Amino acid sequence: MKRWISLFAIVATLFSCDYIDDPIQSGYVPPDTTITKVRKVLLEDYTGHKCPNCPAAAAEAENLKTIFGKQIVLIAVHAGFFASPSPGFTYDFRTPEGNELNTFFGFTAYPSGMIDRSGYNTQHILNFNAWGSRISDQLEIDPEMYITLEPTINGGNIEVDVEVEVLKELTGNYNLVIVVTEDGIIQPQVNQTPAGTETIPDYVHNHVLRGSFTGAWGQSISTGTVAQGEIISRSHSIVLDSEWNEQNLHIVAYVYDASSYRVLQAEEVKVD
Amino acid sequence: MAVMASVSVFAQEENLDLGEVHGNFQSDFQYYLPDSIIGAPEVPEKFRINAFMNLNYTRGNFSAGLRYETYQNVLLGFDERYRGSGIPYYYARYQNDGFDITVGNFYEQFGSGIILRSYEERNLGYDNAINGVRVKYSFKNGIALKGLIGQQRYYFDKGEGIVRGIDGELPVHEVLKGWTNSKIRLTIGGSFVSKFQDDKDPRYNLPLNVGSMAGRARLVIGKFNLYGEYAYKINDPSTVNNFIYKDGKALLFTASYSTKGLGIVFATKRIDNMNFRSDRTATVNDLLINYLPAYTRQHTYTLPALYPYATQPNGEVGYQLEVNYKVKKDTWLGGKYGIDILAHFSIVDQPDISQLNDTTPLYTAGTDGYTLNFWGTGNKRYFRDISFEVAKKISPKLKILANYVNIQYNKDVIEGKPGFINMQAGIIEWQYKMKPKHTLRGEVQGMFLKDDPLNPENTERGDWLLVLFEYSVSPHWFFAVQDAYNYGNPVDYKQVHYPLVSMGYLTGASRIQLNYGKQQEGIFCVGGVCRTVPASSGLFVTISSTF
Repeated sequence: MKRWISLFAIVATLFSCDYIDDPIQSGYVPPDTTITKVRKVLLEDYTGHKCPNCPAAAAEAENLKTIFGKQIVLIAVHAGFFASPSPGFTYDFRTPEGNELNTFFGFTAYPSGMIDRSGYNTQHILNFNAWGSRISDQLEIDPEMYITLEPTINGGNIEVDVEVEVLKELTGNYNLVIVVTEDGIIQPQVNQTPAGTETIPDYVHNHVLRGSFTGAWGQSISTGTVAQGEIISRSHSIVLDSEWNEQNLHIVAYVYDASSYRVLQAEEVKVD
Repeated sequence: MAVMASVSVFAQEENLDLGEVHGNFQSDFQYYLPDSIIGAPEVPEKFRINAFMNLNYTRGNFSAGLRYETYQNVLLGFDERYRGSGIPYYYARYQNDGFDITVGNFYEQFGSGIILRSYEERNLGYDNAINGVRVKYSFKNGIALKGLIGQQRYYFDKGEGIVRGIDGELPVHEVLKGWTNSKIRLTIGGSFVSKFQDDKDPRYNLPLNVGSMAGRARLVIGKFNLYGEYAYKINDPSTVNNFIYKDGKALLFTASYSTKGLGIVFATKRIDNMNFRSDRTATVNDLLINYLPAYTRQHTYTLPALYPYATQPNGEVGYQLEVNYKVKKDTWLGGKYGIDILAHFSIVDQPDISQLNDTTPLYTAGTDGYTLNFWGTGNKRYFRDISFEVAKKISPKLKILANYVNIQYNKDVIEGKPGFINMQAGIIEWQYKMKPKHTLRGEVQGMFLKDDPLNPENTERGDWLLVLFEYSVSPHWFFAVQDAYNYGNPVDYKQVHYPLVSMGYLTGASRIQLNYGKQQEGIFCVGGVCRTVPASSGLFVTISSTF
């Protein structure tokens, strides 16, 4: 008998336990994005104004932006059950493109997000607490492309010139998506607190997906093999919606692999 | 019910045993009609199917099997990540000389499951099968050891974490010589489970290895049956506990007494920070390593079943007492056939937790989160159920059942939606045998909600009435009509009827059932594990068979 109990104890100690005394990590130092053509990661936050845990996810996205700086490009996609308008929450944040992506990628729980759409099609939907680790994973991949954006407002349109520089030889089908996001939209938002759920009447919604220059799935910029150093240029325009506040708009562009949906590079520029 | 039939193949000349193949198949089909009033969405595919088949081969002490699953596309209410087809479950197993060895997928439970339970519950879309290796060894005197390692199922993939566990069980009454003939039976057991997951989190230093251990004992003395289990888990910051670094504890205790005509079950649980998953960021029903019991009543009648309790892994304190009593026949109260009475009481509250200090809010990430008074009870009610059932046979042809249910339901905690529900329901059911094999069953259910000061916008559904008639011709047919009427909905245009007709045909090992009509949205739970069921309108067909 004793023999077996001691054997049991020995086996138990073989499994290690990690006790943590210093939970908070020391800071990540992001590379200088003004001089190096670094990888920038696309964080798509699927959210809704009636979703109680969504403010926590939005806060986490901002927190990650302070950690990783310009290496994070954020889009808040309002879609699904919690995003539909209803009494008290009359504003409709949804877009046709956001709805299409929401359905295609299979979002049913909110908040959830994708980091460069990596892990498609079984492990692409991530809870917001998993975003940081996945960003770290993605940032370990060397940059494959680099995007530069030049938006201008011309009359009732936003025009954008895009250059995609190929940093290493690539083979595959690549699509370029260009969208408009808006910061500073003040509308009610449900919020979960330890005491229960509450409504914040003047919540500030940032990075809200407003429209797309190129539809949900973008336009093809390369098929087959593309050589290192090649520069692909595109110009697009979109009608400036009267709902949008010109002062708070950003243009976000990203290139993804049309077969795996993985995003290779992203960029964000404020509209001046 | 299903009858198992075997397919044995014997070669004529050599009388070679080629083993046996068994299996079962089920297909659930739903055709969706949009209905904006009840909230049934438009489904672009019009109809969807979930289907699977299990195949098991056995020959002597060897067995192997697999399960094919297909979701074209996933039925509403099940996780979209099941979309597609595949063979997520396959195994080979043999038993020899006390050893029992499995490679591939397997289900396992240590003790009551509070540190490890791997199981499948199709109605929930729940499957946390482990893919790896399991070795069991049983000694002749009854001592049993188990060891396992593997990754858990995550839809058509595996979770990234690795689960390792060992368990030992010792039947004291079989090992100790003096106890062999005694009325006392005592079994003790212990287990250790650890998970490994890499850390690339930029914010926190996370434990890569999280261990948990549990000890248990079952004591049976005559008509008394006592069971207790205590578990401890080291720091395990996760999405569910908001990345706090506190340890976890759980204590379960059940006591039951049963004799002819009387059964009493008492259960209590104290659970603190026991969310245990092989991926620290997993939520809902994904990648759970352990199982925490609900210790509440699972109502089967439609209306009270709308408010079931979902276990809260971050912490809960609960009690349950259930008494079954049969009033003897040929007594003044019992009449000619006796009366069956069930009384149930269960209550779940928040544990007694307080802030670490004046400046740190509860559940602050990167801290211990809170301080716990393990033996205390907090002041937030999660759930309470007081219910009674009386069943009385009036004559050889007629039986009547009456139910009263009174539930307090903290919607904010259980569903994350505002509200605290005070509900009462009454149900009368009668079963009338018209002639041999022909039974007409009826139910009248009413459910009544109190006004909720915490939900001034009145988003809850209000009062309901339900009437059901079911005609069955055993053993093959049944036909049913049902109408649930939400007459008390605070929104006028939602005061609608939910009619539903259904029929079923059973033969041997196969069964087909058709439902047509509307179903209200709700929550469906098995043992405190739940999924949401969306409102639907349309045709539902299920076919199942075994061989």
